[in-house]
Amino acid sequence: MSDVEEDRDQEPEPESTPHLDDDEVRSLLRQAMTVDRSKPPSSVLPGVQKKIRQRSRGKFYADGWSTGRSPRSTYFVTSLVMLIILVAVYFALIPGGWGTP
Amino acid sequence: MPWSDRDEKAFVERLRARDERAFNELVQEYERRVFGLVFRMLGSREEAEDLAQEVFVQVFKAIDQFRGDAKLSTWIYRIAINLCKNRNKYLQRRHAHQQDDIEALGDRAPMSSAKGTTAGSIARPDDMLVGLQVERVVQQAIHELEEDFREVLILRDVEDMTYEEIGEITGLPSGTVKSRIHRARGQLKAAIERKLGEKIG
Repeated sequence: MSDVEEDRDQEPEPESTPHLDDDEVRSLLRQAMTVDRSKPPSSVLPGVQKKIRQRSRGKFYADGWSTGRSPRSTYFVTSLVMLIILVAVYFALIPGGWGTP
Repeated sequence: MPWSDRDEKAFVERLRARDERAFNELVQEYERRVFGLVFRMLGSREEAEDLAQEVFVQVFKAIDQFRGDAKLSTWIYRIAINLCKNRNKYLQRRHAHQQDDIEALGDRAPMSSAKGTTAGSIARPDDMLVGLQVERVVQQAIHELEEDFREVLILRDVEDMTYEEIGEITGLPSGTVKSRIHRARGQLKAAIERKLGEKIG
């Protein structure tokens, strides 16, 4: 083997070509595929409900009650208001109640 | 939280009865995972948000076809992967495949000492920029892979699925899944090394 060939064999690889092992590639991939570091995705639920309502022509998610994220509070408030109205009407109508002169 | 087999069966029955509350629970349970998967497959946040919605609309429409052979999550992932493939084909036909979120990271600093650098392991602002650029190189490399390769690599290395689960989602035998992942990793590694080399050089 000539001196020139020996020199070439000993020549280090250019620094500009990095070599990665499988673990490094996997780690880079996981890091690069992180979704919500800067901006978390908004909920898709309202969009899904709207599409289903439109495509089922109002058969599903039609009433607006089932489309909220927390409809329980709506049910509760409505029930409470109805109860107060009924009590008020009852006391207004019974003999000797508020409505009696 | 994963459901037991019995819970899942009962839950699927509610879905089959088109119980809207059950369906809301399903969306809330899976939306982040489905969005994450389709975002990784498409590379665009806007497209991913729209497609994630389509996945759940498909689930709602096709729940009667779910036979229970696989887990519900596997079936949902299969729908997501198939819709991603269709959407990618559509976008390529329309020449509208612009990976805006990935491109937005931009070339902002010279690339050096990239090996072993990730955004999670660095603190200084200039190191942060290098980390972001490395991430961009990796994102470009993964989106240049063939779709079949990209799909199995994301399911395995990012979503942490088993070979069997990937087989159920893609419809491929486990052996094919393993060899495809191996080849995909090789191609990704070569692409990243080449791109980093070009940047550093």
